[in-house]
Amino acid sequence: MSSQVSSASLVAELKSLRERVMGISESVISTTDGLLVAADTATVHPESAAALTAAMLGLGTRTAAEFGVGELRDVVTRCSGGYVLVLAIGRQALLMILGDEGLDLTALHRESPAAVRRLADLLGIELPPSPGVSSRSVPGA
Amino acid sequence: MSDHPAPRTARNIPALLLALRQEEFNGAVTVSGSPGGTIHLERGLVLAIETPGTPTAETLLLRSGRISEAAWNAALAATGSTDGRLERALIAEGALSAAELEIICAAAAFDGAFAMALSTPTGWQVTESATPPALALRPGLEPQQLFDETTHRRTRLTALWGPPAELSRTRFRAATRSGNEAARIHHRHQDLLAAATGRNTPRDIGFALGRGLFAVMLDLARLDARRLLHADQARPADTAPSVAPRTPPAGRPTATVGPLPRRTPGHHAPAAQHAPHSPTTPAEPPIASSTEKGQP
Repeated sequence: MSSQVSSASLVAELKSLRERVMGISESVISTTDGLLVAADTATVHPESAAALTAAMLGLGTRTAAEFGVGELRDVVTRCSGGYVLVLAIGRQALLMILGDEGLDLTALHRESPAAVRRLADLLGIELPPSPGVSSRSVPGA
Repeated sequence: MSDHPAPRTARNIPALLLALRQEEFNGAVTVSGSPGGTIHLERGLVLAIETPGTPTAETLLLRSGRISEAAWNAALAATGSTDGRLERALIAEGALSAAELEIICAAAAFDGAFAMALSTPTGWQVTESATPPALALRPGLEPQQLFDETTHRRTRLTALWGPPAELSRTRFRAATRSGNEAARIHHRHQDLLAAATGRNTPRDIGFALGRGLFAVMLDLARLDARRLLHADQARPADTAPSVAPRTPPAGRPTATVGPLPRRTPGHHAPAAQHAPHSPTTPAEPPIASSTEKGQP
């Protein structure tokens, strides 16, 4: 990961995602080992969020492997007062999104692949050639 | 039965709903857009509207604190004896009265219609098998009632503030006010001012406080008229914490040998002890602690 990334541009990207998807309240970018990279937060403690995000991903990956349900796509925690989502930015970074109970999941699924790609560009992370949903153009049978 | 020739050719959502009312349709209309939403119908009457644009009846009840999480869960558990109907369970459990529930459900449906009318839908789908809403109004509302109320609300806000769609996208920040002035603000408005941080839209404030979109927008428009709000964007420089990206140090960190030094009262220099770690979590007393606060 490039060390000369402008945090302002990362925060601007997070802010833009928050403004485009109804219900996103805060978001945090961290490394896969739980170090804070950038945050667009109001109430949550960014450092704690970064650490928990890494733990959530670790648990999700391990669970997926244990039960043989394929590659982990994202981790979604649904609570009575909202959602916590963890999306991977390549193999080195994570995006945690905190939303209220009205989070527009449809819009999030529409917007997040492009947002993840832009964040990966900013962070100098190379994404795998087929980044999940957006380019599922595998020629079928 | 599954073919709806009339609705498919409807020009817009209101025309579609009126056609479905004629048909006495049972099912749901899923609207895509920003925000989209789901309109639940029974005999063509609107039972509930679920949209990211405004809190549902469930959120209104729980977030406002009208119903506790425990009471909600108890009612959920009791739905087995009320044919799976959460409304009946809530009333049977004494969580709230039938009249109050009806008011909340109707308010949520009107707010849903209003929220969805703030943007142009990109498409819709009519389905007969949709997940039923958590709370529904029975009998539902006549679609025409929803349209009339939505028109009324839009007119009201336009007269008071300006274009409702623009108001719904505005992120207000509370203006600084003198103590004298603050004393004259209604506590309902004070909650709103506290929630207006410049980050949230009226919809976000509605979800945070458990209030419907229209009520929040109306109050914000009134507060703005009293110059108690600034309609500006949050300044990213202020809200963003220090976010300098960190890279792990190039070399391996030197391993610390032995236990961590511990500070003991009365000694100025830290004295090495055999405890493997110093206590970090105050809730849990360290196992190796020499003096335990035993219970009498």
